[in-house]
Amino acid sequence: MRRILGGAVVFSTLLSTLLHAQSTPGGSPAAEVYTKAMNAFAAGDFQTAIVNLEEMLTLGAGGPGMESVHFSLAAAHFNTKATAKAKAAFETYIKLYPGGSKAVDALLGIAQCHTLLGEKDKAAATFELVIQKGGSSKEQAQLAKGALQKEMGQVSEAAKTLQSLIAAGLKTPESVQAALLLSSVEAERGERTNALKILEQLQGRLLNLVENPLQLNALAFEIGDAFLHALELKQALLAYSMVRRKEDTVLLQQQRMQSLVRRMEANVASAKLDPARTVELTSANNRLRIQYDTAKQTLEQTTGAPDVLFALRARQASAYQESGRLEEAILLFESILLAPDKTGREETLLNLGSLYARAGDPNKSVRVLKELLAEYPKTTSSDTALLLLGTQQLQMEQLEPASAALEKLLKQSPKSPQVPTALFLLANTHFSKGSYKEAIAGYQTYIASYASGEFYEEAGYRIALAHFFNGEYAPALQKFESYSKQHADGQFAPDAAYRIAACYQAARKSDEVVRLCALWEALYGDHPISGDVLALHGDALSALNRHAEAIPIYRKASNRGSSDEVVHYALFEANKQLQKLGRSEEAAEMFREFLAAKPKHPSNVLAMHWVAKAMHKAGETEEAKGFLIEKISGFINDRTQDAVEQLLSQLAQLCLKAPRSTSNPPQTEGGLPYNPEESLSKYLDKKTFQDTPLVAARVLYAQAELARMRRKPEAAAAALDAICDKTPPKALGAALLAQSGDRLLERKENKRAADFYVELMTSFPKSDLLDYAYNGKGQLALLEGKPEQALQWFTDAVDKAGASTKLRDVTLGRAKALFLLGKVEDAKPILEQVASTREWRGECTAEAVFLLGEILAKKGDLPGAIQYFQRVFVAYQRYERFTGRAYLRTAECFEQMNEPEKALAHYKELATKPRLAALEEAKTAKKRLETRASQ
Amino acid sequence: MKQIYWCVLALLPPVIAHSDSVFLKDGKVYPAKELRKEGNFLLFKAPGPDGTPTDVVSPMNQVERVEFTELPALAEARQLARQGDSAGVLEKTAAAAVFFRGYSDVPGNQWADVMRLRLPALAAGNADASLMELQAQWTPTGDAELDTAYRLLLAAKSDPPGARTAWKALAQPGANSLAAGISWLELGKEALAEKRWTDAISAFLSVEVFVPTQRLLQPKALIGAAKAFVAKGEKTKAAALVEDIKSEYPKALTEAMAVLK
Repeated sequence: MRRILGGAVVFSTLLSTLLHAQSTPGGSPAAEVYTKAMNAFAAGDFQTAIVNLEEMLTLGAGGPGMESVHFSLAAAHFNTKATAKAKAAFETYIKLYPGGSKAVDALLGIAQCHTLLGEKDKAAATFELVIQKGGSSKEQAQLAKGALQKEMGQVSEAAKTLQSLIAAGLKTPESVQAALLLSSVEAERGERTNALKILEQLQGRLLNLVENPLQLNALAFEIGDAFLHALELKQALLAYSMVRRKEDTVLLQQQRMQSLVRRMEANVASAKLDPARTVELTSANNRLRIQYDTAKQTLEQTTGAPDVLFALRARQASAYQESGRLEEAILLFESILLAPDKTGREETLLNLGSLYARAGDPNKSVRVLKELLAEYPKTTSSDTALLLLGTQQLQMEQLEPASAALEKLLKQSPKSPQVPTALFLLANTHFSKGSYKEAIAGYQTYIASYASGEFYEEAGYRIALAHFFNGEYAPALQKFESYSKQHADGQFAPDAAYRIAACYQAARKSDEVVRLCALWEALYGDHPISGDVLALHGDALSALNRHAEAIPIYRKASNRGSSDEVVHYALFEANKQLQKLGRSEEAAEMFREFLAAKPKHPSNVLAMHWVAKAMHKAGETEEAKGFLIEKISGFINDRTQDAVEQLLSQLAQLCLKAPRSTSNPPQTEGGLPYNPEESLSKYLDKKTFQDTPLVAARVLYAQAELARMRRKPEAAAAALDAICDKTPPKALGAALLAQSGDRLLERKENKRAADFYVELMTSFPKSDLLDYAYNGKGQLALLEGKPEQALQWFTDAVDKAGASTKLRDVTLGRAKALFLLGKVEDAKPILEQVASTREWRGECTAEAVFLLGEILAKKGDLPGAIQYFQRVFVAYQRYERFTGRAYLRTAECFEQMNEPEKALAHYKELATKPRLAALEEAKTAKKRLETRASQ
Repeated sequence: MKQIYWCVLALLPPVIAHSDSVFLKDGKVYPAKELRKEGNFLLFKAPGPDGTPTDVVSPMNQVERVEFTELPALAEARQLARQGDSAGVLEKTAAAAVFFRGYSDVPGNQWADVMRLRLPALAAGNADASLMELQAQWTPTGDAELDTAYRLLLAAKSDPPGARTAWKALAQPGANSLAAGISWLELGKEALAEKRWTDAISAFLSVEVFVPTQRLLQPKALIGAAKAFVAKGEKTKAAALVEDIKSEYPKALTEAMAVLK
C-alpha cells in the first residue's frame, strides 16, 4: 500500500502548492493557520497539519480555498494511518464538492481506505467507480483493484482488470507494475505460459520502469519454479534466465535512479522556460522524488540482500538434472564454488559429488566429497556424503577407504536413514575384497534387520554367490536353490540357475549340468549371460567326451558371449574339439566366419593364426603367407595394434621351410636352394608399405624371428639391436617396446632400457605386455641395489599387469629382492617354487638353486648350502655364470668348515675348466690357489 | 559534378521515414519527422502553431534526448535473434546500423541496441566481411560489455594469441557477459580442433548455461557440444542437444543433424 499512500501525499502537496499560488481561505488569522498547516504537511509533519487544518474548520473560514483544506485533512489522516478518519474526511470532501477538482482523487482515497479497513468488496466497487470516471487516476485504480482482487483470490477477475490496464501498452510505471502483477496472477492461476510471456516483455528497456527489480526476480523464480514443478524444463530455464544477479540488480536500480534525476532536471528546465507550468511540473517532480526515494530504498534493500547465486544456480541445475543433462548441472554447481559468496557451499559440494558419480566420474566425486566431509564433518549432509563416498570408492575398487567411509557412517549415525544401504554396501566391499565370510555376515545382518529392505533380494543372492566364489559349492548350491525358490522371477534368477549348474559342474556331475543348461536355455533364451551358460554346457559335454555335440554349443556361446573373455574361451574350446576330431578345415572356416563377424575382436589375431595354420596344414602355405600379409598390411603402421608382431612371427615361421607342395619344388625359380630370408623379404617387402620407423622396426622384428627360428642368435640379436638403436621409443608398439627394453637390459644399457619400459607403461597402460615393463623396472632396481623398489615393481607386475608372460622372471625377481632385504624365510619358498617348476627349467632354476644354497649358508648350514651349490655345477653346467659361482661358494664353505683339501679341490676344478676360464670366479680361484701354494 | 553530389549524400546520416520525439534541454518536446543530423545540428520537421509541418533546427548541445521510434526491421531482427538466426539478424540490422551510427552521439540513440544484436550475430556467423564493415563504422557504444565484445571479435582476426589470452580470462564459470559467451565459443572450437572433447563440451555448454539470453550464440555452441559428444562416443547426449536445436533453432537443424550421421 506504500505506493497508494505516496499517491495521496502527492495529491495533497500538489493542492498545497496550488493554493499557495492562488488564494488563501479566510482572513489573515486563517491564512496564518493555513500556511502553518501547509508547511507542516510539506515537511511531512502530518499531525501538526491535522491540528491546523481542523483549526481552519473551526475558524469557519469559507471560500473556494476550503476545498483544499478538506482534501488535505483527509490526506493527512490517511498518512497518519488514521484510516477511518481519512475515509470520513474524503467522504465529506465529496459531499461538499461533488464536482471538485479532486473528487476522483478523493474517491480513490476512499477506495484505499476501504482496502486498509478490510472492506474489500467496497474497496473493489469504489476502485471501479474511479476507473469508470477515467482520468489520471484510472491506471492507479486499475492497478489497486487488480492487486486487491489477487489478494481476494479472484485471480481471473484480477487478470481481466490488469489486462485492461496494460492493453494500451507498457508505457507508464503503473502499466509496467500492472504487468508485473499480472504475470504473478497468471502464474498463480496456472497460466504459466502467459506469465512467462509477460515476464519476457518486461525485459530490455522496460526494466527501467520496474519499481523494484527484486520483485521481478521473485516473480521469475516463482514462474520458473512452477514450470520446474510441472517438469516443463525449458520454460523453467527460460524464466530463471531472467533472474538478475545482485550486481545487475544494483546497476539496474542505479540506472533507474539516474533516469529519474534526469527527468526531474528536465522538469526544472521546463518550468524555467514556461513559468505557467511551474505548479504542474513541481507536482510531477514531487511524484518523481517519491519514486526516487522508493528506488533508493529498494537499492539499499538490494545491496543488503544476499545474492541469488545459489538459489538461481541450484534451480537451473535441478532443471538440467531433471532433463538428464548432467554436464550442464555440473557446470552450474562448479560456478557456485568459484564465487566469493559461500552461500550453499555445503549443498553444492554434495550435489557435485552426486552429479560426478552419476556422470561416471568417480575420481572427481570422491575429491569433492572428501572436501565436503573435511569442511562439514558433522552436518546433515555428512551421512549422505559418507554413503556416496563409500559407493564411489567401492566402484573405483578402493576397498579399504570404501569400508572406512561406510563404517564411519554406521558408527557416526546409527539411526541415519542411510544405514541399511551402508550396511549392504559394506558387505559388498568385503565381497569385492574376497573376504567372503565377512561379506556373508554383513548380508545376513542386513536380511535380519531389513526384511522389506531395498536390497533384501540381492543380499540373499550375494550370500549364495559369496559361498560360490569361496569354493563352498555345497552351501552355495543350497543358497542358490533357496533363492530360486523364493524369487522365481527375481532379478538374479537366471544367474542363480546358471550358478546351480556350475555347482554341479564343480561336483563333476556333468550329466546334471547338461540337463540344467538345456533347461536354462529353454527358460531364458538369449539372456545376456547365455554365452556363459552355453560355454558351461559345452564344458559338460566335453567332459562327457561328447565332443561333436560340444562343438555347436561352444560356437553358439562364442556368438552370444557378452564379454570378450567368454567369446574367446568358447571359440577356442570349439577349436580344441574340432582339432581333436581332426576337423581342421571346419575350424579354419569357423575362424574365417568369426573374423568376418567380429572384425575388431581382440581374439582376431589368434583366429588369423589358426586360419593360416589350417591353410598351411592343407598344403596351401603360399596362400597362408598371402593371407597373413594381407592382414598384417592393414595395421603394420599402427603402433596400437599389438597383434602385428604375432602375425609377423607366424609369417616368419611359414617362411622357414620350403613349401611342401609338388607344384612348388623347394627351389627358387633360378634353381637355387630355397632361401627363407628371400621368401620373407618377398612377402614383407618394405617398399610396399609406408616408409616409417615403425614399419622398418616391424620388418626387422620379422627378420629377427626368422633368425631365431633358424638358430642364428647373432643375427636375431643384431636385428633387435637395430630396432632399439634406430627407433625412438615413441614410434614403437607395445610388443617391440617390451622386446627392445629387454634387449637393452641384456646389453646392460640400463638407462635406455628404462626409457622403453616407461614408454610401454605410459602409452599402453592396458597392454597385455605390461608385465615386461614392471619386470624390467624391477630388474633395473635390483641392478641399482634398490631391493625395496624392486620388490614393489615385481609385486605390481603381478597385481597390476597379471605377469602372464614374465611370471618366471617376476617370481625369481621377488625372491632375489626378498633375499637382498634379508627376508630369507620369505624368499625360500618362492625359490623352491621356481626351482621345482618344470616349465621354467633353465637358467632361472640354476639361479634359484644357487640362492637356496646362499640362504642355508647365511643360516650357517654349510653342508646344506654345499649340497645346493654342488647341484648347480652338476645339473646346470650349461649356465656357466652360476656354475662358476657355485664352485667358488662350495670351496668357500669347505674353507669355513675347515676342510681345506676339499676347498682346494673345488678351486682347482674351477680354475682348470676351460669353459669357465673367462669367468671372474675362475680368476679368483686361481689367485687363491696361488696364495695357498705360497703359504 | 553528379558524382560529387552523391558522395556528399552518402556522408550524411541517412533519413528513415518515421516519427520520433525530440526532447530539448529547455523542456520543449517535438514530435519530429524527417529527422537528420548535419554537423552539430539536428534538423527535423515538427508541427507549427497552426499544425502545419515546419523546419526546426536545434544545436546538438541543446538536445536532451531523442526517443526514436523502433524501426520495424529491428523488431524483426529481434525475432530472428530469438531463433538464433545470425545471418537474418545481420541482414535486418544492416540499415539500422548505418542509420544509428549517424546518431551515435545523440542521447537516446539505439546504436547500442543494434550492436547488441549485431555483435553476437557476427561472433556466431563467421561473417568476416560484415566485421570489416563494422570496423570501418565503429564507434564505442558506451556499454562496456558490448565494447569488450567488439574488441574481442577484432582481436580474433588481428591478434590471435592476444585474443586467446582474453578468451581464457573472460570465460570464467558463471560469467554472463556477451564477451564471455564469445570466449567460450572460441575456446570450444579450439578444443574441438585439438580433439580435447571434454574441454570442448565444457566450453560449449557454458554458453548454454551461463549466457542463455545470447540466443544467437546458442546454435553454434549446441552443435559444437554435440560434435564433441559424438566424438566421445556419447551419441545419446548429442541427440538430446540436436533435439533442442530442432525445437529452438530450426534453421540450424540441417547442420545439427549432420553431426549425428
